[in-house]
Amino acid sequence: MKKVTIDPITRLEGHGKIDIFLNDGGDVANVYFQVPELRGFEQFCVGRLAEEMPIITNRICGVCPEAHHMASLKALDDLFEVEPPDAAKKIRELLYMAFYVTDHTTHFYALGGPDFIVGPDAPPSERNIFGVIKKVGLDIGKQVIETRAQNHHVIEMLGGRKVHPCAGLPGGWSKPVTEEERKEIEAIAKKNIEFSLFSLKTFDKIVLNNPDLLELITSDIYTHQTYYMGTVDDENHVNFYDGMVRVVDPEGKEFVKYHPKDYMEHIMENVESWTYLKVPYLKKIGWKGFIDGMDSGVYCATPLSRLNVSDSMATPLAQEHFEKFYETFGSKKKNGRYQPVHFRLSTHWARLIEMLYAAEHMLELASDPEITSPEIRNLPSGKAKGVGIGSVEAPRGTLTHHYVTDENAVIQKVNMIVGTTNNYAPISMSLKRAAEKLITKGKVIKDGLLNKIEIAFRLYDPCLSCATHHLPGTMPMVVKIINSGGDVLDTFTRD
Amino acid sequence: MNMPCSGCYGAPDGVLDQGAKMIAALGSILNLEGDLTEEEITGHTNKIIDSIPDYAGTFYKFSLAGSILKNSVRK
Repeated sequence: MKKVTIDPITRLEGHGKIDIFLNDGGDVANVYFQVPELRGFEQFCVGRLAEEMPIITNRICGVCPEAHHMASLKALDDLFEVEPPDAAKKIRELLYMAFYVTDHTTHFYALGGPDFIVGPDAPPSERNIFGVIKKVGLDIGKQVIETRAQNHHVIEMLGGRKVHPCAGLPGGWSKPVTEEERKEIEAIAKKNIEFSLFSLKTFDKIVLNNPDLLELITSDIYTHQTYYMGTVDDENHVNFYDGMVRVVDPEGKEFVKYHPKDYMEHIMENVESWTYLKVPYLKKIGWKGFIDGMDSGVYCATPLSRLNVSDSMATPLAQEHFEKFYETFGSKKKNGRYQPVHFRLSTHWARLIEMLYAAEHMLELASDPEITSPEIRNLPSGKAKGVGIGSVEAPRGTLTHHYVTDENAVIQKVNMIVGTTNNYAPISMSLKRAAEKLITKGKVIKDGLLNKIEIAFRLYDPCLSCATHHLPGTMPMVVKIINSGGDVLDTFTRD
Repeated sequence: MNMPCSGCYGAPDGVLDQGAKMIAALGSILNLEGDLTEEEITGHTNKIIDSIPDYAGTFYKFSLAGSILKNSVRK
């Protein structure tokens, strides 16, 4: 048996490596997407005061600390049995929309987008933000930087810090929004809408009008029929901050809709001996392995998943693009809602539709007179009830924080299912599919291997993806082909 | 941001070990007066310590890496 190792593939959120095992015939037998690093957040939070969790857990990630801050706050609201005033909820959501715009901008222009905008076959030295700027123009590059800067300014205004917000409190928020700030945020939200529409137009022009790229998106390599998960509001619209978690089956039928507090009734985590990351699956279907289909408990929680579980979008412009998305891929309506799209590369488009929704909703919130209300905190009245569970939609998937405490709110146990974790099985499956197409009968198509595999996992926007387009565009990947005797037959690296 | 300072800039100038300084501060408000037995002193001290969940994590919140405990400060 031969073994192909791609290591390392990451920098930001721990290390990752990919092992491709070939059978005796030289075909792909298994692909292991391993996360061999143990970070231990769930352990070292034990013994800390629960009220510190929004500050501690947002250090899990430098890309999505806002998501951890929000999920943690909602877990504390539950723990202390206190409902924040409407104005506080709106401030939280306003910050969260600014965060979504900046996060999705980062992915489209700097991380995942270069695969399309510059092209999947372009040399790695060009498939990066500089290649994107070269293709779309310097002015657009400036807009990308400006959009990120402005929205991080909003995050700082509302949350106290540009990267790791600190203004959240159980039962509300620490600082009201002034009228001056509201007007500034309103103006930024309007620019965000323009920028989101421009980004969708760019995707349309460069990707959808290119038959080769459209063929790649709809190709078998990047297609998986799994269950989908996402949070929806009362009208089954996509919602990032609050609502019920909805799961649909591969045919689009609602499988379950549950309150985030009940997640343990629906989600189980499978432990594999070859990785520290647990593999979640749908409890009622069961773990059948890394396989597609109605009988497999594998589910996916991504921007594409959120669109697939929703009946529609809550804002008008995003709704127009939502409809165009499903019509383009030939999805038919069944019981009033579109059938799921299974083309995983369409996640990039879904992400842009979400960005537009975030921008539109940001404007709605910034225009709401209540956003400047000084009523931003309800003080918890009693002691900690012992359990607090909170959930939001992080850009990379449903994020759940679950704390168990004593009566003094000292943490006894923590469980977190983060966005990327939800997609562990789908990512592994996509990697295997890509590898199968490139390694047959012992022949390894070296040139395509790294590109196709990068594209396969980057569409999920795992935190690991940050390393894959680090400046100046090289990716720290080494592929080793090792035979069953442990001898290295070949080694090649990205340069 | 209307949030209380929790010391994320580290120990103030002139403070070698922030946690030890806080223990000293607490010692100064123990208010142990009169002739007390060792048991009474321990009981009174423990009462204060027990009222602070996670005192090590709280007192060394941002400064453990540079504290004497970590043995990373050498003169």
